[in-house]
Amino acid sequence: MIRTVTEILKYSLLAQPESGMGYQIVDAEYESGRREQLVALNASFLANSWSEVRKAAGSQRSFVEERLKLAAKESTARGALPAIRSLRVTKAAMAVREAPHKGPASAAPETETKTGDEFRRFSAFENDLRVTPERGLLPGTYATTAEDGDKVRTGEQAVPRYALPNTTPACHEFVIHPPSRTVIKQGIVQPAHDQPGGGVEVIFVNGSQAGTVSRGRTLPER
Amino acid sequence: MRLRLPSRWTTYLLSQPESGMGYQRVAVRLRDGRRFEDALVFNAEQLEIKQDIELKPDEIVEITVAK
Repeated sequence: MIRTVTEILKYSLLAQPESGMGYQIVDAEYESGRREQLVALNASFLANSWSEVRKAAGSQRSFVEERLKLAAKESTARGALPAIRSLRVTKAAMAVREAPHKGPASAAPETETKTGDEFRRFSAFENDLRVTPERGLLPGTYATTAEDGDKVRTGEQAVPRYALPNTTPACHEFVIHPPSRTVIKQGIVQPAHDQPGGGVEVIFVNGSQAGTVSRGRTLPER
Repeated sequence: MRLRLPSRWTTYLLSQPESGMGYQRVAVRLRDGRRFEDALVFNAEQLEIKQDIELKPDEIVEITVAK
């Protein structure tokens, strides 16, 4: 969902520091009292996640503002958007996720998820025990990003990408939609167990709450 | 050598972080004092030890997840 920022909120954003060049990670408080983390672009547009911005803006550099305006119009056309009471820039150190840490996730700094972030876990076990009966994840559970997980088309492909010591194809995919501000550490899988690694790995430091995990694809073995 | 762990070890292992997606690197100590480093556990229930040994689950007295 992309939406435009009201004039009053625009001035509020311009009075606050950026989180990075041209954007702010903000804590939005709605009139209903609900809070949500959003991305503010050029103090003019709000999005739930960077993937939404990329989708709306497209890959070409020209006419980005027009595309975002169009996306915002489409959001409004789908129904009245909840009114925002305030936008407060959150602490950049925790909220901004720059390029993935190039070392293993275990050595990466802690960051927080944003609303709309999606992750995947590939397992050789249909009854993966790190997924709780309440459909959460236990603390210290590994996963990968949706973007990296999309590159895995077979259970066999997951093995070298995530340097898995169990060579049984990891055909069972689990999809994780954590709430915003779930603490993670993100890095790159290092070579291990005679496997090259190279995929993105994410550790859910404190796990993920109930109801955030669902079954995804059952991949072919090869 | 791979064996299925009794549920009490699975319960303990699920309280510990993973070492990677779906596995934990562990050290195993047996009742007779033998110790195996760099063993692996998959899905908190399948123990794999590189050495070709005979082992019964009740011989295991300690499993430690590697940091």
